[in-house]
Amino acid sequence: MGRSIGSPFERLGGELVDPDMILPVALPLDLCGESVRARLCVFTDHNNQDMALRPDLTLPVALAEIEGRASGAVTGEHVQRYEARAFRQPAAAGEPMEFVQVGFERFGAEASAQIDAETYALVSDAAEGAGVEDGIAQFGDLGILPGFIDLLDLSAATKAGLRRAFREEGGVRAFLERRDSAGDAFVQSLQGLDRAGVENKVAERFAADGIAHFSDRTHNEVVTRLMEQARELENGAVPELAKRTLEAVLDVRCGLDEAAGVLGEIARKAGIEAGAAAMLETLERRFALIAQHSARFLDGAVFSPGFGRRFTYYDGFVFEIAERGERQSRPFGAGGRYDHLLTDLSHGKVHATAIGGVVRPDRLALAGKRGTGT
Amino acid sequence: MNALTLAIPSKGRLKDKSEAFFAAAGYELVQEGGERGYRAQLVGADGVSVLLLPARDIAQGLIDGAFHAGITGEDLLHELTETPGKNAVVVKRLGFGGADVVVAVPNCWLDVSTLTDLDAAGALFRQTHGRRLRVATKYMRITRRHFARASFGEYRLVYSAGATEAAPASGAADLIVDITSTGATLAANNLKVLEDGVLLESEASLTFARTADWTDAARAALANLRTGMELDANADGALDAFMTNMTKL
Repeated sequence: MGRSIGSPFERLGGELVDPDMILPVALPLDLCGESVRARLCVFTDHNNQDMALRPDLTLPVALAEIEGRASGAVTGEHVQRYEARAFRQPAAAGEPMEFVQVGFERFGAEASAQIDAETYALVSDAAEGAGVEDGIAQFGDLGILPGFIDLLDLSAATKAGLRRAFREEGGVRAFLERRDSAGDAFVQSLQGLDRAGVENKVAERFAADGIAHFSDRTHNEVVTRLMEQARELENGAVPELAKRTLEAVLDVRCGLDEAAGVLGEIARKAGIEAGAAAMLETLERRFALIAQHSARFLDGAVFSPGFGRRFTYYDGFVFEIAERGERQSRPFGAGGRYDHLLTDLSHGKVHATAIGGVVRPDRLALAGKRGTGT
Repeated sequence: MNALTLAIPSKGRLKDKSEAFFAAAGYELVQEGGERGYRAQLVGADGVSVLLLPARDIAQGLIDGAFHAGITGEDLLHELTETPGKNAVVVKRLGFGGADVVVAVPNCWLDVSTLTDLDAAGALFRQTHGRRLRVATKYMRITRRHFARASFGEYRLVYSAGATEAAPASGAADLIVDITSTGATLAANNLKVLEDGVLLESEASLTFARTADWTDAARAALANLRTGMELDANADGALDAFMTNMTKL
């Protein structure tokens, strides 16, 4: 049965793989943060190291890809497909801890609207092939808000903070109302100083308070951050226009054909429409291609720029397809772009674009049954 | 016939203060088998038997409904379940065993005094060192819950069963989440508490277990026990509400 579900993905070529089932727990945690720990199936090995059963196939497949590319065995475009088990602590009662994922990961292909639309088409083909007639898709693009942040007139440190905050639930709004050390008398006393000047002030403060440096976090990092904070103070608070712009982007929730227009209007009000044009063109083209080539599960489909943030690998186009109603939070199909994952995982040694798509046969079977009224 | 089981801490200040709390209500604690026994009676409280247990076991037992009531720290009640207050219901904070669960960082981090600062420091740290900041703690759940609420994600947890305050100096972790009453131990280890770093203000608390076996005899024993205890209006109301909800189960 798994073979027939995954057969649309065979069009991409590549090989069927079943990579490592067990990973050091540090790997998903360092990559995604502690928020995923509650979902990992973890055990302790004989050396008292915490290990995790793979929570999905993307991570071990990406590791194999890095190995292949680092050794030179793999170059150019390369596809890995899988029909394999993954393990997660259920988020809701009645969900299985062990389940099969049928999917593909496509590395080194052009990062384009065409490839995005093709990925959606493959996943909806697989769902349709499994007998699912109705469902509803949700779309996001995790590059949009960072794109807007880059275009706004903000300091580098504020931009970096906002980009990080975007990845946390409620983070951007919290960041815009943040409390940090920028108001400190000590940070105020550093304004206008160069690095040597800041280091002198720090040394004075250490001597006065009897502080000595101890910590893996280096003295240099402390000084660098203090300089950033002093600069932040000179720049002042995030301007109202920038705040309003970012909040407006986060609030967007619209039909696919409206998305580029709505965001374009927000960009125009912020005076950044020229900079945003290319990004919004890609968005528009992607949705046009999706509607043309694979207009399935699109009735009532919604786009919002922040959708998919909790899937921490994704950094661009992202989608989910699910049954309508209460099971919408448990998608039977999903996919998205994660162009930076190989770079992050390999600490900068390997770079390749990446996009993947996946279906859950157990959920497809449920959705198929319901759809036919049995 | 003992109908209601009550668990109190088996040693130290928590035990002494718990004993004093019941003595003030007119119930004397008499341990079976002397000072080292783990069972006791409250003289004058008919139908009540007392277990002497470590505070952590009391918190777990209250959450599981293994006994009816107990005195334990709120920090433990919050750490041992994802849904504090659901099964183990605090009726009265007892005014002793007070301590805060706090985030503390090396005092040489002059740039870090809030969680927002810590997030920025953590991002630069990850760029520089290729790993996330490590937080040593025995409060894994409290930490995770609070950091998620504060939208702070640049960290990894390292379990620490004891002497947590030594972890930053030894290199086992970069910062800690730990319980402190005076802050003296933190200061002695060159750590400072973040301005928004108090995750929980904890006290020893008289707590009731929703899922315990609340027979008629247990209710009667509680009604009797309560006559001696001088509960303030708040605690009285909380206990009434608890008993009312019990009958709905």
